[in-house]
This record gives sequence, C-alpha cells and structure tokens, in this order.
Amino acid sequence: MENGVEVVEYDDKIVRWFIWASLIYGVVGMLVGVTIAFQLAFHPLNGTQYMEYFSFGRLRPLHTDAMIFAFAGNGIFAAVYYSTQRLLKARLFSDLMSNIHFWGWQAIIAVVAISYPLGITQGREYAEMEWPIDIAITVIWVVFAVNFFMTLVKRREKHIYVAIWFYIATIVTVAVLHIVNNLVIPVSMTKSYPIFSGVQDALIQWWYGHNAVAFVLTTPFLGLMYYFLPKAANRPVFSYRLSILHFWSLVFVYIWAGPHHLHYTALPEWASTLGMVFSVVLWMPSWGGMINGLFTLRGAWDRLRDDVTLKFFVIGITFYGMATFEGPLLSIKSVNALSHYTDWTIAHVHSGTLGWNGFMIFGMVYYLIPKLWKTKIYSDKLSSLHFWLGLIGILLYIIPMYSAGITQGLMWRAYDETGRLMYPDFMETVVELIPMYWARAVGGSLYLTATLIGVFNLFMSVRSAPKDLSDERVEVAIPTWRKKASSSNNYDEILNEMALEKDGWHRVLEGWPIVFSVLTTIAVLVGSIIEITPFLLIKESIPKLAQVKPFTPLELEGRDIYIKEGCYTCHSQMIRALQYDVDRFGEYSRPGESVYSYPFQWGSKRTGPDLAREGGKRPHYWHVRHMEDPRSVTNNSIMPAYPHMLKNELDLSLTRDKIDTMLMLNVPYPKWVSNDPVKNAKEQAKKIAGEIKEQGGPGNLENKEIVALVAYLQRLGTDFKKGKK
Amino acid sequence: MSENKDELMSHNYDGIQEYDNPMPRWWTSTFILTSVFAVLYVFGITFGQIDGYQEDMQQDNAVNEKKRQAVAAANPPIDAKMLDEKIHDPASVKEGALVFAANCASCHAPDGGGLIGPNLTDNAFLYGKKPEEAHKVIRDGTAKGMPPWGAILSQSDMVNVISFIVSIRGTTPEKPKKPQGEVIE
Repeated sequence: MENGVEVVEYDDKIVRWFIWASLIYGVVGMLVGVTIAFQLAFHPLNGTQYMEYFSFGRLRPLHTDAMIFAFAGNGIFAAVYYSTQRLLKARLFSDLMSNIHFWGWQAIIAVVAISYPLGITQGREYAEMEWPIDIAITVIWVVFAVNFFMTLVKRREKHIYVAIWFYIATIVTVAVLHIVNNLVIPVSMTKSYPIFSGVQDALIQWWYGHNAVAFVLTTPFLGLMYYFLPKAANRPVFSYRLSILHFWSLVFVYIWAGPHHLHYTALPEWASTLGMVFSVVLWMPSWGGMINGLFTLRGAWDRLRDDVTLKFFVIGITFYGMATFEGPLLSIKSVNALSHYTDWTIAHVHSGTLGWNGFMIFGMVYYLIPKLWKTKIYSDKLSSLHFWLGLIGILLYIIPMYSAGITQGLMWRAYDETGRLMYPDFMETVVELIPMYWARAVGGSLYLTATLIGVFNLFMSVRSAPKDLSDERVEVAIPTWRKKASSSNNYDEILNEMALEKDGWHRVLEGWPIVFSVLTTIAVLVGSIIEITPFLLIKESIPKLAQVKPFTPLELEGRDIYIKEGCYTCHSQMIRALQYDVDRFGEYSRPGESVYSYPFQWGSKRTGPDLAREGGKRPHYWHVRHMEDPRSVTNNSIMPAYPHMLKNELDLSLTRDKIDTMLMLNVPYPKWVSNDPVKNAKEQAKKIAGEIKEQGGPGNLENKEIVALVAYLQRLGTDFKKGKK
Repeated sequence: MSENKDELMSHNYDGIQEYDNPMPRWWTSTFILTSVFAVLYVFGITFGQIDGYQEDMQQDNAVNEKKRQAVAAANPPIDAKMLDEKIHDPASVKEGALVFAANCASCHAPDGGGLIGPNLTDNAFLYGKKPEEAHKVIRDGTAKGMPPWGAILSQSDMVNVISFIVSIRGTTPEKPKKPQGEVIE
C-alpha cells in the first residue's frame, strides 16, 4: 500500500454495445430458427415457387451460425470485456481495438447474413463462410486477442482468476481451430475448395465443429459463470481445487472428442474409438463446472425466489449438466448408432444453446442492467415472464425432438419377423414426425417471444438511464510485484516466490499468464496432433480404390449447386457400417470413395434419405420432376421444391478455374478433360438433356442448372459398383 | 460432504473469494472409473475382446438372413405356375391396386398410362409380357432406372401388384405415353 493508489476507469461502453448486439442478433437468429422449424412442418413456407433465396438449406446455416457466433459470440465478448477489466483491475488495453473488434464483428455477421441466402457457402457445417469472410474473422480475432493479452500484461492483479483461464483457452483454441479448418484454395471471391478432401476433411471439420461447441459455447460460458455467479449470489466459489482440476482436464480432453461425430462412417474405427473414450472421460471434467456452479449457491438458494439473474443461472447450469451428461452418452458407439442423423442431436444441441448459453446470457444481462445503465430493471414481472416463457419454450422444443429422434431411429433399425426392414420406405419414417415438428416450432416461437420480452425490458430500462453514463472508476493500489519483476527477474527470485507461495504450485502459475497460455495451447494441441496427423501423413490410412475417378466438370458444377442449396443440411452421403443402413441404402461407404470430395458432403442429419449410392437408382427424368416438385413423385415429401433449377442458366464461367484448382490439389484429370473442361461439360450436358427428353421429359434443359445436378446425383456411388463387377 | 470445511483461500478477485474445499468424492471416483473404462475399452477393441464394426454387422446380418431363409423355405417361390393361379383373383387385383397407388403411380401414372416409366396399359413391352418376367423387373429393377422393389414389397404385395398390372392391360389411360419396346400380342 505504501506505493499509493491510482484510479482505474473501466470501459463499460463497449460492454453495453456487445450486449445490445448479442440480443438483437439473438432475436434475428431465433427468428430464422423459428422460420426453418415451420418450413420442416409445412414445406410451402420454403417459398421456392417464388424465389430461391430462403429455402431451408440456405437458411439453416444462417440460423446455426447466427446463434453461435452472433448471439453467443457477442454475449461472451460482453462477458469477457466486463469481467476481465474488473478481475485484472485494468482498463482494456486499447479503446480503438475494442471498437474495431465490435464493428468488425458486426460487419462480418451482416456479410454472412447476406451471403448465405445468396448461396455463397463452403458447405461445411458451422464454417460455411467463404474465404474472404474467414480472413476478416481471423483479423478481428487477432485484434480481440491482442487487446485481451495486452490487458493481461498491463494488469494490476498479479494472479489470474479461473474465469480468465477459460477466456485464455477460448482465445487460443478458437484461433487454431478457425485457421486449420479454413485452409482453402480460392477459385473466385465467392468460391473456394478446401485443401483436404473426404475422410481428412471430415475429420478436420468435426474436430473443428465439436470444439467450436467446446471453445465458443462451453469454456467462455464457464468463464462467464465463474465471474457473474459468485458476484450475483455474493457467495465464495465452492472449490478452488476443483476449478484447477476441471479446467485442465476439460481443455486437454475436450479436443479429442470430435471423431464421435463420425461413428460407423468411413473414418477408420480407431479414430472413432479415441473420440468415444475421450468423450466418456470428459463427463466429470464437464460436471466439475456444474458442481462449482451449483454448490456455490449453497446458502443462497432462498434468493432464487426473487433474484431473476440467479434463476436464469441455475436453470442454465442445470441444462449444462444435462447436456454434458448426454454428450458422453451419445458418443458411445451403440447409442450413437440410434441417435445419429436423427432429431435427437437437434434436441441435444438446443438444450445446450437455449438452456445453457441463452439463459447464462440473459442472467448476465439482468445482472448488468443496474450496473451498466445505472438504473432499475424496468419490470420485475416482465423479467419473470421472460424466464418462465423461455423455460417452457425450451421444454416444448426439446421434448418433441427427443421423441422424434428416438422414434425415427427405432423405425430405421426395425426388422419384421421375416428378416426384412419393417419400414423400407424412408417416407414412412418422416410422416411420423410431422406432428412433433409442429410442436417444436411452437416451442421455438415461445422462446423467441420470451427473448423479445427480455429485449423490451432492457429497452425500457435503458430509457430511464441517466443521459451521461460515465465509466465506473475504482481506486486500485499500485502493485508492488510489477516493480520487483522488472528490476530483478532471476531464477532465485522465482524459486523464492514458489517457496513462499502457500497456496501451492498452481498459484505460482496463475501469476504467469503467458506461461499459462502456452501450457493451455499445448494441452489442446496434443490431442489434435495425435488424431489428425496420421491421416495427413500416412497414405495407407485412407485406402485408395482404383475405380474411383474424379468428378467430370459438369458433375463438379452439379456438386457445387448441391453445396450452394445446402442439400447436406438434410441429406447424408455416408452409409454407415450398420446392417440396417446397408439394407436400406446399399453397401456401406468406403474411405476411398470420397477422395475427390472437396469438401466432403457426408452430412450430419437425415431429414431426407442418404444419397451416397443414389446414382443410377432412378431415371434422369425422375430427378427432374423431383426437383421441380418433390410431391409429384414422392407422396408426403417435405422437401422444398427447386423449380428455379429448370429455369436458371447453367453457369460455366468458373469451370476452367475450378478444374485448374482441382489440378493444383493433385486431382488426376486426364488431359482430354482438363484441356477444355467447358467443352467437356457441354457435351455431357447435351447427352443428359437428350436422355431426359427420351424418357418423356422436357427438351429444353441442356443449358440449365438441373442438368449439372442430375449429372452429379447420377454419379454418386456408381464408381464403387463398377469395381465390384 | 462432511469434509467441506468451507475454509476461504487467501485471495480475492473483485470481491470474489474461493473455498479450499476438496473435490466431492463421487466426482473423483467417477472420473477415475471413466478413465479406467477408456483404457479397458481401447485394449478390448484392439485385442479382439470387443467386436468392431465388421463383426457386429456380420452378426446382425446372420440373424436376419436366417429369418429370411426360413420364410423362403416355408413359402413357395413366386414362379410362373404360382402367378398363373393367383393373378386373376379379383381380391388380389383389388389389393394390388393399393400397392400400385402407393409405390408405382408416381412414375407410371395413377392409371398406368406412363410418365417417367413406360405405359403399362399398351401392348408394347421392354422386358416381356409374361407375369414372371414382370416379377423379375419389379424385384430386381432395370439398368434404365426402374428401382428394385424386392427388399421393399412383401411377397403377397408383389403378387398382388402383378395381378393389378396384368388387369389394366388394354385399358385406355387419360394421357398414354407413346409405346416403348417390342409389341407382343
């Protein structure tokens, strides 16, 4: 204390901005979610008879990415910026960087929201943004990281609290995931191909996808919880030792779990096994956070009755506990065989995002209104309504989805007493789910309504805020340790410090944030390297099939239409090594079959049937009619119609560049194809258009998108069959 | 939870304090148990005590194959003789109409006049006129795009739909597709 005190002014404006951004984008993302929920229950809402931009396949990625990166993303930026300043007793390093971070992030979201309906997409889940947007995300994330780490350097509190540990894990891991998963070769400003294909691409994508859940939707929210929960409850955190153990085990173990998204697929089983066992081990590290959350409330349970923040937090943490028990359960191969591709997964992720992420953000917002806007919450009744309506909305959402998922999973695997599939017609298993799709859409609407009430409550509270909101100022003792560290930084000093530290060795580590960050990075890299590198370095890990040849230029264009329309959001192209998948769709998919799939399109949900062996199953004309109006050939189909594919001119202006990119990726095109791919595409289009006419179809499709799509669909799985003959 | 003494650690972050409580015992035990399970599972699947994908698939298939063979042994096969006896039975034709409407009408038109697939009411045939030839096409599909229905239709549905198809020959559909294949009178 003899060093005197200095005044620190926290930047609260940036936190207020991020809160508004989180809630406004939350409403938009939920509105898109409710829209696609109704589209599944009532297909005409896809509106594709009038225009092509708002079908399920194009909106679904918009919904998921808006909820993850805009709603949750802006929410955690608010949490990180508010709590970090207070935990480190330092203003954010640079106001300019904070502003660039804020406006850059919002601009990225706006561009994403425009690009997806236009069909500009990589076609890889939760990473659909095309390469210029990816570069912008990298730049903004670096600005965020520098701003955060420089604040750490400037801190006045020697040791870093557990919330900061989780923020560090978030910032470094998201950077690694984002960059590795988006290694692509641009074809144009709006089109790229990833440098990995098939099994490799699938593994990297799900390493990314799973850990986006871990390091965007879990670790920063645990950080949020560790700051805001003890503050709101005014109770000490239950166990410091548990914090240490569950932090390190969580960051080390989580990263391995990705392959559990690929059970029974063409991913070799050993990788799948690692994904499963690490997911099971992850159960307790995840629950460490729940225990520290709920047990911290010992002695404060009575305050739940009238403290809306604590109400939201308790339900949020409870959903976290449920979802992190369910995760390991779903990762067990035999359970996953039932749940995968069904709505069970949808139920699981929504109990996570609506219950855990949503309720933690809402709880934080109610805690911050009086602090950031220096005013009372406008209406406690509305806060309470927000809470109850939100909770009922979640339950009404997830219960029908669990029911739908288990129903469909059981129908897919059911055999009758004669040893044949009980429901061989896929549509039978879809029709069964429609009532549950309606119930889910109502549940989602209730949650959206609850959020709107919350936004109204915030808006009305802010209206009564004082005109000039000054930043919070606190007096902080000038730390003595900083002076010491700069004057004599030698080993003796460090050893001395370790010997003096009575709270244990980890306490010493908490005083060295840079070392701490390096160790965290190592912890997440170990699993990543062990699981991924064998597939990149050892050729034999993905056995080649001689008969599998690259897509023709026209098929490649058709494939890019498939990607553009987001077909992978409803159709898998991966027949699992399960007898009932094989009996329904044909031979299970082999690793060598997708070596030319840039990107892989295995899918994660079967709202429609698998397409891995679709080629040759039906005449071209069937596909033409099916795309124009699915109901004309499949009764009760819920698929959107794509009449525009019969009208839109086939664009071959990028075909040359696309084939050149493929050649760069060592795709073995013969000279007679690569010399003039456009001519090759036109010839194949003419042939297919002729066959369509011969089968009784219209005769004017030679230059339309549909011909390319038919060419692609008719190719799927056919190379493998050729080899069998 | 008797071991929780609720002793505060010395540190304080923005007013937040932490207790020096130990981890709950059940937490530590379950963590160890799941880790042991992980190691055992990896050993089990590596050294063959736990079945992998291939073994599971073969076992599942064996069970159903046995059932299918039992059904095949108990029922006479669909052949020319059996079809000749059955296909003119009005009850069979009536049942077959339902099977046709559900599965065939989308490509052959509800009245069999042809659409994506050929006209079934005329006297031109791509794969033969005999009921047993129709059976082969329906069961196995064709290279031109007719899907195989052998795994989807039950034996009785199969016979009934053939009865229906034979029954509509010579009728006049609303929009007949032009004849395809060989004319057989």
